[in-house]
Amino acid sequence: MTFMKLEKIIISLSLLIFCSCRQDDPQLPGKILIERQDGVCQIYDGSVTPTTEFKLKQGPVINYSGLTWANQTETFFGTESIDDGGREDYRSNVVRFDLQGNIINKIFETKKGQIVGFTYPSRTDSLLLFTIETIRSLKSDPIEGLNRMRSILTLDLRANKVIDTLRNLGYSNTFQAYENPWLFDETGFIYVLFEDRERKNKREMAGVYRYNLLDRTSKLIIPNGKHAIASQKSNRIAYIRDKSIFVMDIDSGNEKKVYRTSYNEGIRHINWSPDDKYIYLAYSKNYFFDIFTTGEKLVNISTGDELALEHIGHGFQMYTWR
Amino acid sequence: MSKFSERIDAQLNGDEQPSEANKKEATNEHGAEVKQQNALQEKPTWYYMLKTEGGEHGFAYDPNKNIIYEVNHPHNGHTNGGVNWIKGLFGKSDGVKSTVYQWNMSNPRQEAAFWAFGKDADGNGGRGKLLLSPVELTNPDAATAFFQSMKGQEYDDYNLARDNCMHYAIRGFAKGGLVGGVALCSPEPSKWPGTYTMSWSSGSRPTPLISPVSGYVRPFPPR
Repeated sequence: MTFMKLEKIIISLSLLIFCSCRQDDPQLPGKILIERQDGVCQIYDGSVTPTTEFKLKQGPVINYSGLTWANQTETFFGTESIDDGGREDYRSNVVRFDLQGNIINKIFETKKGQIVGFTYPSRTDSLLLFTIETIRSLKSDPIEGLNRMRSILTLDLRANKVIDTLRNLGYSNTFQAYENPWLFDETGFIYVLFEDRERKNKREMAGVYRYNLLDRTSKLIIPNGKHAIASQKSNRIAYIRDKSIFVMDIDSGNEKKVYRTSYNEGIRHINWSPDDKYIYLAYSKNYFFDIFTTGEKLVNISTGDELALEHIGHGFQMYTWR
Repeated sequence: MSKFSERIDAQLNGDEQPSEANKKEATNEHGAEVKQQNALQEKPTWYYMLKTEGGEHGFAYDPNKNIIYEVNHPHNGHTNGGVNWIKGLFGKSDGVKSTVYQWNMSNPRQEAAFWAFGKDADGNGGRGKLLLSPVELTNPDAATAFFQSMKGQEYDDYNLARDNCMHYAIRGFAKGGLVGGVALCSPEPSKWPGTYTMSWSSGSRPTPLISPVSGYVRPFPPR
């Protein structure tokens, strides 16, 4: 087969997949904000075209980023990063933004070298979980900046006080919490630990963990589970395991497989739809010679039916959805 | 000469193996390694960085600003994979082109996006193992200016064989005063010409050596 023929096949395949998503496909429920690398933010409110657009401050010293919807007010949580020049002088604070990306108030201020990552409010906005990591001087470790140890802090937003610290959970690429980590009843949150050599040495298993704020204990609830997210309408979580998407009732422990990937399919991202009826997934289909195509769909949690949708591509970018 | 200076000289001359305490490792979800051997150099050093899993790929890393520079698939590796390569091979310029990325690793969102580049939710793909080797630059500000002027742009010259990820990294190093370059299409330095003084073992566990990068220059295609 010549490369010219190969190219025609690839283009035809891409067209076929592109055309399979019709113009009358349903629109995504809820509000989605996409945050692009250059700081431009677009809000989609039930439409495939953005209803609002603004640019976050991106200066030589101060930068805003990491927007996450608040659940009860028309605001965002996020971070204000301050770069005073040296690597160890870098720091980032937890702040609240309005719908134009301006700071309303500062919630948690860090010391130099402390960096706040993801910020996730609980369902009633009474608690805020955020990740924090420390970056040390260049002399102590030149490449530490690539991969730092993370901890989780929980802040009571009403008292504006840190009420819990979960220290040294993992490195940037061996620990993750996704939107939304908070359980519906706000008694705790879920996070994911990935397998690595250090963890193996400590006989610590990879998987989905549930942290209980009441007794301050972490428990492995889904061995080898990945990408765990909690519903904000019911006490359920969704996660990926064995190339499938499962939904589990937290109270009963019953789990149900709602989606199984095809042989060449990789799931890039999942999210509960705000109406609690669907799991949104962004996926890729891999062919050969590094050729892949991408798509998005909704999977009905009750029936398993797949629904194509008018897509905006948020699952392949940084976004927040409520 | 102080013991410290003697040790640096010995390392730069390849006379001394770095101690265990001087090896830095971190692991990712594949159990793979981010690994380097410190050069214990007094002045700030940049790094040529190599990804091996799922295809070789080269980056430039400035640890002083904690920023990684690279040319890669558009849309964070989530769309159009490989199609632009094929188009480039045939000299076509249509379609979505490769993109110039700049990852500020001090920003957790960008750091997470860097590690998640092209990775699916099941943990497949992504960056995998990274290997780093120090690069001595006499004018790092010029390298920074070059890389930052390219941020977010489409990489018009991308061509799988002649001007790819590794050429972009080395082009920036050259702006920073590196007398060196690359000639072959593989981003792995062990496959570069013998005149290249930085050596990487070509075994299954390549080990970056501590010698600074310098060597043969191949002219890049004109921009």
